Amino acid sequence: MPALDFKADREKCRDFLKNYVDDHGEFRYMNMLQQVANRKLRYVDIDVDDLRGSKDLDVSFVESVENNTRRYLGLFAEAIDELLPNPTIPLPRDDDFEIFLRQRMEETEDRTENGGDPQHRLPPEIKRSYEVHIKGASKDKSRSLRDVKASHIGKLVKVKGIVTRCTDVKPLIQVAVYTCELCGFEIYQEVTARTFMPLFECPSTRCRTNNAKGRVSLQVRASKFLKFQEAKIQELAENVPKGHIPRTMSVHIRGELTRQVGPGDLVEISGIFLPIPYTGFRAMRAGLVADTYLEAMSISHSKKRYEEYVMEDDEQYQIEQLAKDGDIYSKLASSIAPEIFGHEDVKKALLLLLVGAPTRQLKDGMKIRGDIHICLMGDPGVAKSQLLKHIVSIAPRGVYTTGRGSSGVGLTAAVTRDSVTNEMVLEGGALVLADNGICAIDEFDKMEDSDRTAIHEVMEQQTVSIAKAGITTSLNARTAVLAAANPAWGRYDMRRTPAENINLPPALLSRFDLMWLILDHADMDSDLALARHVLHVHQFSAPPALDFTPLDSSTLRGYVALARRVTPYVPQDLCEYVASAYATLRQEEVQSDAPHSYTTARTLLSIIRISEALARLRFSDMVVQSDVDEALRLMQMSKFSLYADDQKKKGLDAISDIYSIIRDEAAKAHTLDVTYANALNWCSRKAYTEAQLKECLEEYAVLNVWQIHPDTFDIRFIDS
Amino acid sequence: MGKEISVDCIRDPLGTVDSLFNSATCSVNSTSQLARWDWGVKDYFEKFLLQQGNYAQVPEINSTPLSAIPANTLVRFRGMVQDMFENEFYVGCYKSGEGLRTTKYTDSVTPDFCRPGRDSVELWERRILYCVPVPGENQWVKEVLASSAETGECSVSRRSSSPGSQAEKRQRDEGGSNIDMDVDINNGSTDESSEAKRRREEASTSWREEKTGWDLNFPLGETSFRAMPLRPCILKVYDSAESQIMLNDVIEFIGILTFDPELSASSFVKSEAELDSFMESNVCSRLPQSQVPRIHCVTLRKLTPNNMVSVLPELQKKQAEILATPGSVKHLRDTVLKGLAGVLKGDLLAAEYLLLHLLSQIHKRLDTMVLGPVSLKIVIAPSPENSTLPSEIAQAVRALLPCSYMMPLSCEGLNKAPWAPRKDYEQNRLATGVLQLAAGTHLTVDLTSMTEGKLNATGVQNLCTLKKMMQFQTVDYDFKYHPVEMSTDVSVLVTSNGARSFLPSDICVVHVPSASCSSPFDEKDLGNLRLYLGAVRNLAYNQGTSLNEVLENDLVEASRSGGNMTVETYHRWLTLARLQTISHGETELRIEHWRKTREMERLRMDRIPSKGC
Repeated sequence: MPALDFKADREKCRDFLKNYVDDHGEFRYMNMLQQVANRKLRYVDIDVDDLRGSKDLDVSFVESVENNTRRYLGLFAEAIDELLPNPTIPLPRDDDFEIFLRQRMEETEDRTENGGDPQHRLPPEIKRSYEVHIKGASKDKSRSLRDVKASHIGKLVKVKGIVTRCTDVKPLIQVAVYTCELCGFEIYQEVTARTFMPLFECPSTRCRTNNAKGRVSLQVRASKFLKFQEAKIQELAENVPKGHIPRTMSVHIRGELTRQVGPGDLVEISGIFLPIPYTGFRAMRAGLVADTYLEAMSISHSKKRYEEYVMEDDEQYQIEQLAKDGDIYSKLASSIAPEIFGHEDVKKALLLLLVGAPTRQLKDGMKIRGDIHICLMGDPGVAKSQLLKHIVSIAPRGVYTTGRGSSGVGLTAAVTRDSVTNEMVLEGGALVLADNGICAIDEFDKMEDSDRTAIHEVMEQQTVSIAKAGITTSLNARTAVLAAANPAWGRYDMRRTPAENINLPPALLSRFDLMWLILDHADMDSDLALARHVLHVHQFSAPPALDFTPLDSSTLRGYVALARRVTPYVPQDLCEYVASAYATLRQEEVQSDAPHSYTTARTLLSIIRISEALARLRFSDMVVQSDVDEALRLMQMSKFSLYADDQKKKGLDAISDIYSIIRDEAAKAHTLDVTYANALNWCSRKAYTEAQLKECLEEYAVLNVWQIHPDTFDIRFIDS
Repeated sequence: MGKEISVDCIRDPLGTVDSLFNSATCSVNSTSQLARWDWGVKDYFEKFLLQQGNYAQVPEINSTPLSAIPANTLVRFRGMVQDMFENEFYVGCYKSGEGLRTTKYTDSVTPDFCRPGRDSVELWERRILYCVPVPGENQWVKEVLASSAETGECSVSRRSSSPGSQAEKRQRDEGGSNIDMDVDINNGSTDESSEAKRRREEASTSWREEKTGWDLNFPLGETSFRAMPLRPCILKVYDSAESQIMLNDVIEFIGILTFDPELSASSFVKSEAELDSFMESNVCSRLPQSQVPRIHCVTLRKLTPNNMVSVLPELQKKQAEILATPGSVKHLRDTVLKGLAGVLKGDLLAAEYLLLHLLSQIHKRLDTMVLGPVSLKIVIAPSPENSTLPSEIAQAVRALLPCSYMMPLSCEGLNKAPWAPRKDYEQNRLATGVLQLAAGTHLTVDLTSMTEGKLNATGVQNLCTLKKMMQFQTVDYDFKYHPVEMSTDVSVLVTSNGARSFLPSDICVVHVPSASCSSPFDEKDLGNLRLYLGAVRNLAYNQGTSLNEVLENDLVEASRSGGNMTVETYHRWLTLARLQTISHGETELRIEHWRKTREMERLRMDRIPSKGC
């Protein structure tokens, strides 16, 4: 190995600090040093990015900094010592540290004049009032703990992990200072390891030449201590390969970096990966086996939230391309749980739940929630649970719980007594843990009534209030609730009213934006399709190939994250439209003898929320009419399996129903002309397809009820 | 290879390693190149073990008293990976005098070892695994695999003057090549042989039996074999791809047993007190060696319940014979069925289902869906004469399958401790739970013993975990900050008194005793029956497309008439048909098997009282 020229490298460090000019044309590091000199700053962060960006430094220098970081820390520190300017502001004079330092400087000068003793040389460490950190390049991807190997020892690495344990901050001696009882000199001992052997005899030249065994005593006040904390980080769940155990790593945190982490924090740490130097009795073994730790250089917290979802360039591009595709809405929806057969509309609703609407805060402090709550109710075996699980796995913060397993306290929050400290602690339940995410509650109907009421507050106010054991507080629970329930008698009973079947209190029901009924109707076609599907699975041990390629969940997640950044608004002219739609819904409910839904003012908000979520999906900041229509259509579809049945009873077929819709609407508007677009809107709100509409148009045109424009399909009623 | 390699791989494996290492050092020019491969150690040992009788001579840790095995000799160990410790960094090689020496495959160094300078440290990495004896492994498996070791034990424990000279003689007679084994390596340099001697002297360090308060993390509690408590081991594995070994894998390791006097328990207790225990992450060095032997693995092979019994060449041959002989599969199938019916008091239908259940295993995981496993519930009428039936069934399963466990459910048992493994951050270990089981383990859950009581939070959690395992074949390991989902392949048999219970099962059979009672299993048949079960479980099944039309129509027809059809029913029928087919030793679905399955299902449904399960 060629001998490294550290002296030359120190010069390089010095020149870099002196000459580096950042993007704003300022001497970044000299400014920093000035602040250090003024005692305003206690650390100097040297950014590898800056080293790379500097014109004067070659690549090999930066590489050696990254590969031998510990050494270069020292070099940089020495360079800083040389460069440190004089303070520009008067410093407080009564600081212990200052007094000691001044005294020492004077003494040392004396001594050096007298020919000096190397033992009295003042170690540079003790003079420094700053720490040097070398920060890893921000562009470098953080590794998983698993990828940190023996070859990384001594190098700068960046890892991501969850903090599992950490110690209290303790003082760690950095320079031990002794005074000799005989010669009266101060003796300095630099400590680099966690343990050190204290001196007992004065090593100074004077004592040695006099052969007087001068006793030394440790001066605690004069010694230099450092804040020191140890932490353990654990590999993130997503980095652990299947069938393996998450790895852990010790992290040593010193000085200003201490007190930044606590158990449970998700952190990104860049630091130097080092072996632990052993001393004493373990030295023998230490020769063979080395424990390692990470010397932290910088710590940043990361939170997994949509708003902070960092996207890579190509990912962003890919998503933008996707957005241009006209059919993105159904494409995204079908990519949710692609292996679950059918249920396109349910999936669309779930997609909207993921996207949500923006939360609005009014001037008077009132908040209107943006999260969309959905309840799936249906016969057993319609894959409700799978849908729930899949949604939770897509959402960056998703909590899955079952109604039976969790009491109200388990969902909201509990006050418990910590077994170690005997203090009262607040423990968040599923809903609090899912703050800014999704909480999926399975078997919602099997929950105790009293527990269920605990959810009322969460669903509308989005907070959890606690008044227990002297603690009164309210925690944020801005979560979208996705519930799944079975009908009251296990299966939906057609002979009973919907209210009896659903069997959830109206107060709760009204809080769900969509209440989806999925009934298991036996019909030949779907049975056959299902049978084929199952057969295929067993034959080829794989589900049948889908007729489209579903987007993978990371793309889906990225798309949703981007969509959530949009804050759409409802334009003035659309308000009227929404209002009339709402009025119609109310009207229908009054007329119906057995209403399937409770239409309240909340419904109006729901319509707006869903429309806004749809606008977000288009990355548009304005809600358009088609969004509202789709929202209304979804609301209608959610009860479709019931209506379909009702209609059979009523003897009304789809065609005549469409006719009556168009007729009524036209009558309302006192007009004989109906545009095709309007007709289509009305129909789709009632969950009819375009094909059915066309059929209707043709059929009634033959009956001479209306005339159809051959090109535009606009309708003109024949006045009779 | 340039140099003569010492032949005594069993008694002085490190000598072999040294020779291989020395010849490797000649062929490379820098030490860092040495880190990249194992200098042919694995191949050399594998070749050695394949030679006549060598495998059998290697003592097996859990069927030989530890005191009879000298340190630094070759051993076998069969276990389940219970925990994975942090990788260990060690000084790979160092200069001793003129030449290089390696510390791979060992914990101890020669006295002339001096600490290398800090900059010249060549750190290599090895994986550390904590393995426990296979949980629920049945005695007969241990017997089968241990008996072959017995002969080996003698050859090694000659020094400890054990009986068995007969076996030794027989071995000597077998071939001249074995004689070389006993001759000390004389062709090497004198330096080398004294080295070997030193190693063996070190071996005399006694394995003191010490009871310390260590939890050895046996998922199903501590067990013993031939009056010796079973031991877990710490395995140090070299040069293996990370994906090769997973948690809960059952693996047979062959490696070098080491004993590091520095690490002996007494010196450690002292040191523990001195050190700040908080950050002392290295559990590996804390566990006393006397209870947890350290093995440096040279080679390994994975075991599954299907190949566990047939790893031995002679049994493998026998198994192939069974499959090849026409009629023998049918005969064995009938024998098993008769035996199971005997246990089940003559209930043939239940016996048939039980057989299919025993053959079931996961064959494919599709996202959240698992294909293959069939959990069975046998509903037993509550009466005094039936009270021992659950344990008799479990007994029969124990005799047939390599790994099984019976778990009588009770409130106290449920409330006592969590069943899912959880991470103990204090100790930095994975604390085990009852449900940390190797793939292919059979679990009998007895609900008949259940009494009324109150469940606490742990109890409820345990039931949820069990339910989840039965439905999705996954167990969530509790890592406090987030659960880690681990896949399992455990078939669960539930015995209960009522058709409806809180444990979901795919199939529920009401037990109906019949007058014509056949006798239970005959001891001498068991060997073949086990081979039969293992063999048919291994069959590659293929559900051809020829029957598609019939199946489709049948399924649709059933849903039109039956009403209560769900996707699960479809899956169940097809899975049962598959099991029915392979139980006949066939690999392609035939219409007879499908009809038989439908008929069985019909009979089963008839037995269930009005309300379905």
